[in-house]
Amino acid sequence: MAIERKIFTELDNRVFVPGEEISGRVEWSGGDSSVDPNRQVSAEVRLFFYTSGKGSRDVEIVATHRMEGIGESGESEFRMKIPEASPPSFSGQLVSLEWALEFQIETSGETERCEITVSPTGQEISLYKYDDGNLPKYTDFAIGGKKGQWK
Amino acid sequence: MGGVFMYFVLSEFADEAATYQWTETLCEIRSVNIEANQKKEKSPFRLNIEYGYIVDGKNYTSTQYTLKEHWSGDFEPLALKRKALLNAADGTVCFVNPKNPAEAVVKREALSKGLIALFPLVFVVVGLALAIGGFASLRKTKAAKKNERLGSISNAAKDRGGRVVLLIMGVIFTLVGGGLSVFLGLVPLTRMMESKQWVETPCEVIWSRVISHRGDDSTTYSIDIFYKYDFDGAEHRSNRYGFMTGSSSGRKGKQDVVRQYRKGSKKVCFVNPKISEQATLVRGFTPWVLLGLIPLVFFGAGIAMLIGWRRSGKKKAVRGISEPDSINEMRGPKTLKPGGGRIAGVLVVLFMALFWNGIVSVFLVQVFDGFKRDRPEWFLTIFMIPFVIVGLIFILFFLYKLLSLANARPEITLDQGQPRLGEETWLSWKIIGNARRISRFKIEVWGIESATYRRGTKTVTDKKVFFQRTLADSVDGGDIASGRAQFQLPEDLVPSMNLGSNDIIWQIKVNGDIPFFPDVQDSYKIEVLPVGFS
Repeated sequence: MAIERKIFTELDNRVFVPGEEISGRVEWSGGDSSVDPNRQVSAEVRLFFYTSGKGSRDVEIVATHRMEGIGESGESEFRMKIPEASPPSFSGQLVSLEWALEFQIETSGETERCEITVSPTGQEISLYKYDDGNLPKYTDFAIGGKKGQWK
Repeated sequence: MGGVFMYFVLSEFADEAATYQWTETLCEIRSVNIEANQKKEKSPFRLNIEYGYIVDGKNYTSTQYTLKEHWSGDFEPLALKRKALLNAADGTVCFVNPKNPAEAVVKREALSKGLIALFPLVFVVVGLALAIGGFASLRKTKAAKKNERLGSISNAAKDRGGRVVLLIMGVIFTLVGGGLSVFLGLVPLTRMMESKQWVETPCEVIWSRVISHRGDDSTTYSIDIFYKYDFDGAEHRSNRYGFMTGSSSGRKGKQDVVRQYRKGSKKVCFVNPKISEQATLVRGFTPWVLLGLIPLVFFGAGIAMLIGWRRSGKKKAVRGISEPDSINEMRGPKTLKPGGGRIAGVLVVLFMALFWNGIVSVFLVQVFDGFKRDRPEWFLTIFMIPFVIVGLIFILFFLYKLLSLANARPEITLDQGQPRLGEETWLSWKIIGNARRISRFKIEVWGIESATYRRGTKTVTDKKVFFQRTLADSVDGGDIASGRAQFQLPEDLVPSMNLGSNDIIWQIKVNGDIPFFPDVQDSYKIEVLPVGFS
């Protein structure tokens, strides 16, 4: 029987500001028939952010809550602090950054993910909010550049 | 291939290393001379020695200098060895095989042979790195697919395997690039300079010829002139023509040189007054020796890899976000340095111009040679035209960049070195140099998103401006020379970030329009902190 896992946060919404503490509870039930019943199974809750868009994906885990020797079913509470110097959730045309919590049991590797928003303004930041339609094309002046292009 | 070659080198190394177990024995040198065999083209010289030694009361005689018979293309090292052997006041030590006392050598070469193994090691390591990289990439793809199936993103954060490959490649490139630069560039360069003090001495040519070196694709040639001279009351011989060794294409030029040094002709050579075995027919600096410094590029690449390796290991509490360097710096004023400075820009263009035109010039010499011999190579001449045009554009661009060095320099100072989003701050500027030549002066702040990704075998970085605000825009001479501007970055934007492949960059852009001259164009990277960070 496959393990059935669930992840809950204690907050009604899923929006946090940097420096805030995030607390929640994970629950799992069911076993994995392919795993030796005597083997110590561990599980982990990870708080992380990742990028999506045109660039290669960057992923950074900022906090973990590890559980060793978990049984077939159970639950655990966790508490993790979002570092004050954390990048906010944002979306641009080339890069977007998202935050999430993942709960993973070591043996099966199956994962439950819960997306959250981390932002000082309380909502995902739009990079092009101030685009008036006249944004310049990127050029690196140090190497080249056209004469009088800012006129 | 590198592995097979290294196997042979290392097995030879093992044989030589065995001589280090042989017994040290005092031996008596009976004769030492250097055989010169003109029929052996590339390696005509050999050290012939005869020495005697006693083991368990029994006399033995040997003529073996090294374990393997060794013919050399250079006379000078053999002459120096001969001198050392004859001058050994306390006798010479030889090494006797304890299992077969009739076998002995005077010189053990194991260590020097072992160093040669480093060269194929480069190919082995590069091959291994490619294999590991390919395997890691395959594993990563498989892991990514598995993670995708399982729905995990955070597992990817645990993969940091690329660092080891970076470290290995960095060490190899640094050692090999540095070593080759020293042996091929710095050593000959130093000796060239020293040779200016060498003593002019009459010499007589023993033989003189052009040697052909046949390769898979082409044949190269080298000058081989063997001569004798008297110095300090003794006769010496040498086959050094100049300090550049190796061979190159172009037989005619070398044939012309050889004709000047016919067998039996009396010429002039230059002898090192401190070591009379060292002589040369041509002394002084030859620009070609600078080619020996090309491996410095690999040395630089190796250093860059090691810096990259070291930097990637410095993990912040949270990767990516800008943190204040210190409270003082954050709150205090900071004068900015332009990113990718003007001199660096000029050097980059100069390097590109030299690199391109250096390669093109090799073919141009061939084109000119054809015209000189009244046998122009028309196809090559026409084929080279676009390459020459590009080379000229590089030179013109270099001159244009060189002119920009003479421009006035804006000095930009921020009241707060690391401004925070949503916070009002001041920027001041001062033009160092002739500000009156600038007809219009503009300062802007740009927010840039940057994404790096793989496209086939290339790594590509795309950048886009997501925010622009003008801080100053003036056509008045007085305002251009110096001024201050207040600005505030919106608090609902993002701070500077360096996430690895994805970055958020903030820049101050300065543009000064100068009629009929390269404009002032500088950019200054600034670190923008998040809202309320203290």
